[in-house]
Amino acid sequence: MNKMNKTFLHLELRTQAVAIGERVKGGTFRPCIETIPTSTLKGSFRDHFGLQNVKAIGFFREETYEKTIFTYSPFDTLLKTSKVPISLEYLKPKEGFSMVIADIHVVKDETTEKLIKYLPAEVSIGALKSKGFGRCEIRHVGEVKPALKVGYLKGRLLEEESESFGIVEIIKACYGYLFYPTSRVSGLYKRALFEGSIIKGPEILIEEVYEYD
Amino acid sequence: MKNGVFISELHDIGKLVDRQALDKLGIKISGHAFHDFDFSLIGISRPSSPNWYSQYLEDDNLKPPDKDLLNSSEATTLIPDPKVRADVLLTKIADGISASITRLELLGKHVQRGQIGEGVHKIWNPEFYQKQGKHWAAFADVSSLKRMLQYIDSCEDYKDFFRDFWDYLVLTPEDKKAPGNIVSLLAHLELVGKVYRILKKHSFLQFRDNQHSLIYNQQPIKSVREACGHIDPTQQAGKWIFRTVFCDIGFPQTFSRLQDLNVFKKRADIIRTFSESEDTKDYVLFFTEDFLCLFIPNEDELKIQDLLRPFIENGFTIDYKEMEAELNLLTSSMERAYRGFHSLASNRHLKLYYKRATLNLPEKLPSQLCDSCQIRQGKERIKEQTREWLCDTCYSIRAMGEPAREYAEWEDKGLKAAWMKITLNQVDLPEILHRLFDKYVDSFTAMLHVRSNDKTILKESFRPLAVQIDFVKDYKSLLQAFKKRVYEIKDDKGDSLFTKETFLYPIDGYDEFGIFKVHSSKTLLKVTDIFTGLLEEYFPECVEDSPIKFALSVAQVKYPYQEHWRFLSKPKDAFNIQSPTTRLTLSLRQYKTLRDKIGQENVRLSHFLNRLVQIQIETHSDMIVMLEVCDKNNKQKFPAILELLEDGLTPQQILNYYKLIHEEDTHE
Repeated sequence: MNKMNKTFLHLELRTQAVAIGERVKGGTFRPCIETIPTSTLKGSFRDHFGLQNVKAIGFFREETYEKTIFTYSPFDTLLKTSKVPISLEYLKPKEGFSMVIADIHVVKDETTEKLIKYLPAEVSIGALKSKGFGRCEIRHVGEVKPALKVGYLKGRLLEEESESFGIVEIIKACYGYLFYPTSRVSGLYKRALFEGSIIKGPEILIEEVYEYD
Repeated sequence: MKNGVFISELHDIGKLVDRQALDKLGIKISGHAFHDFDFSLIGISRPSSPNWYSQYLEDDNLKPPDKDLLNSSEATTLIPDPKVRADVLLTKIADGISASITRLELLGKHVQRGQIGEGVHKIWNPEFYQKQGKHWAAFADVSSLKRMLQYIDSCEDYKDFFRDFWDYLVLTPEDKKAPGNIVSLLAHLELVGKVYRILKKHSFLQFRDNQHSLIYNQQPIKSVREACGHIDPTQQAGKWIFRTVFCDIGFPQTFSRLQDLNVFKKRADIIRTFSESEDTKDYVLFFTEDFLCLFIPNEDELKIQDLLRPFIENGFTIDYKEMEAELNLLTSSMERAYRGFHSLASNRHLKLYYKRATLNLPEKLPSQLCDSCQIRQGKERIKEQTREWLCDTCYSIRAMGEPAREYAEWEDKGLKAAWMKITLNQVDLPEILHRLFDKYVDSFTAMLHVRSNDKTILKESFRPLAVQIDFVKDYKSLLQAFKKRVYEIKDDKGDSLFTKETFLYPIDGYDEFGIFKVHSSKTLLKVTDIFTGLLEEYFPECVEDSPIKFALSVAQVKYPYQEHWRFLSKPKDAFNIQSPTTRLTLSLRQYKTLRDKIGQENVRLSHFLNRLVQIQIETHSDMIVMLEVCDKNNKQKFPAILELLEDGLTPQQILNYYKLIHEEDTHE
């Protein structure tokens, strides 16, 4: 076996409404991304199953969702005042679908093999959990050992974890930052590969093939 | 020989001569160069400045691409000064790679061409020359011919040449014989001049062992072929490797304040300075407000990160694709050339890279990213009780001024506004030019007698770079015409619909982007009509297949700026429009069909369209939708719908359009 070919656990996530916010501040509109970054899943698996440092990435199935907007007024509990209303973009099932569905790929290792025992399970991801957003069912579908391909990365993952995800070469890096918690109350931002990067890696991470030098 | 400069652009000045007119006056001229002209016919002596020797590009003795132009007896006899011989050699190289059709005679094949035409034939606007109502030739009698030959000696700057003969250079084709007549002489010579100066800047003339040679990147050459390689990619390789680079100049900032729009001004200022500065202007073959096309040496000679430093240091990200190749293989239709080249068994040098140039970002940032760009450390900034975290770059952009100041006042009046963006898609452009060229070769009158095999060879030999330069010039003219005409739109009372306060161009000189008040759907239609009218005027052949995109995002004034921009910055088709509840993407032809067929508000039509959409969602069947439309009663009541569906539109597109043009009016 080519040692570069990673094995991934394939999970399926189903939800009725989810908002994984793009980190846009200073405005009253919070757009939502259509992938599930590694940082979101790492936090969720840690909080729900106590599993540390799970490496996983997710992609919502395009045909199952549409975007819509929820407006709410955040309440400052300290000052006991409401803030300016914020419009939050979220994903809801497209007409003809009862759920928004995502595929999650988890790098298989000793830790994540334990994960299967907990599934199916209910977890929460994303924003506004207190208002019922992001409640998801996750189930185990199987294992995949994707072939290596060269192409555009879909999703966002920490650069330092790229090797763990089976990425063997970064041809073009489009960097951004993902939050990395260092304790329950603090964290820092780590450099991450964002959409548009060109990589050689498992085909499940590839949006579109790149055929040049 | 007189002293003076060598202006490579003058090598084609003879193309501005009307040879037929002079022939009638008894002056015989063969070809467009004057190296073997009989000067006694017009009673003047032969010019003798360095410029004059550019005429020898066409001399039969110097024409073969493998001819040693620096040391051969023919070259030294005709052009005594070795420095001028080097200039002639570099001009010849630049001329070859600037041609819009590969010099097929160099393949050793005789390829039949079309007829000689009058004036330039723009493949996106075939009637351009006829519409100008002017004659292409600058020199059509003896006295003007004398003036031209004296001009060759006296001209000291290519900019003077362009200024003095601009009107003629725009109308005259690079090659009068179809299909080579698709590029203006102006675009061709701009390209030759820039390429020549870059080649010269990065090479030097060396005299060693009694031989002259030109050295670039440690590679000595004496002939065109030695530098560029054979025109046939399977034959002799060239030694000189250069790059064409397409740069998309982007920015990481999101828009949450109007002042954030200053990033456009900053970008436009840097692009303009870069394209005009003596140090860098010749690298820039053409540019728009967010795009640069560069011709540069290889990375050993010039680091692209260094060249683009003014952009990078100011926080811009440059996504670029770079073709690195021997000069004869270098082209602007990069992907097409790459695929073609790699289908051959060739070990010559042709690479294509997609890369990004940006600041070196640290692996970790301790806390508080900048709220705007999110790639640098933010600092706390408090203004009017609002606390934000902004890096120095984003903060300095905010401090550049207050664009679209009037826009904030519209909010108080509860008005709607449209954000408008016109975009030239540089990925689509070369492909569309290839399609238009194919169409020209296949079906235009001047090409009808050409054999089918030769047409195929001609189509494969197309190099769109110079054509792109002409296209971009016309695109910029369209933007200026649009800006002028929006202020000429009249309302129902015959007054101007817009003033400078109600149709804003927030960034001075950035004519692709505007914001205007929308009182009713009629306002939108009038603005879109201006655009469609201009597209038909400047680019009539692109109505079906356009690299120029028009996008409108219509909403209440307080709608998030970033959401407007997200839609405007990535237009999917030629015509794109969104409101908070509707999104519509159409080809221009589809838009025009809808515009013609869907008129006044009609409640029954609205119900019918909603029903069709519901049927499609439930059944996923176009056939069942069609059966509903073809129902006898429906066909009578809504005859336009069948035509629209047959035209490729979906019920959802028709409904979205209907909703957009029947949104409620707003009043101040």
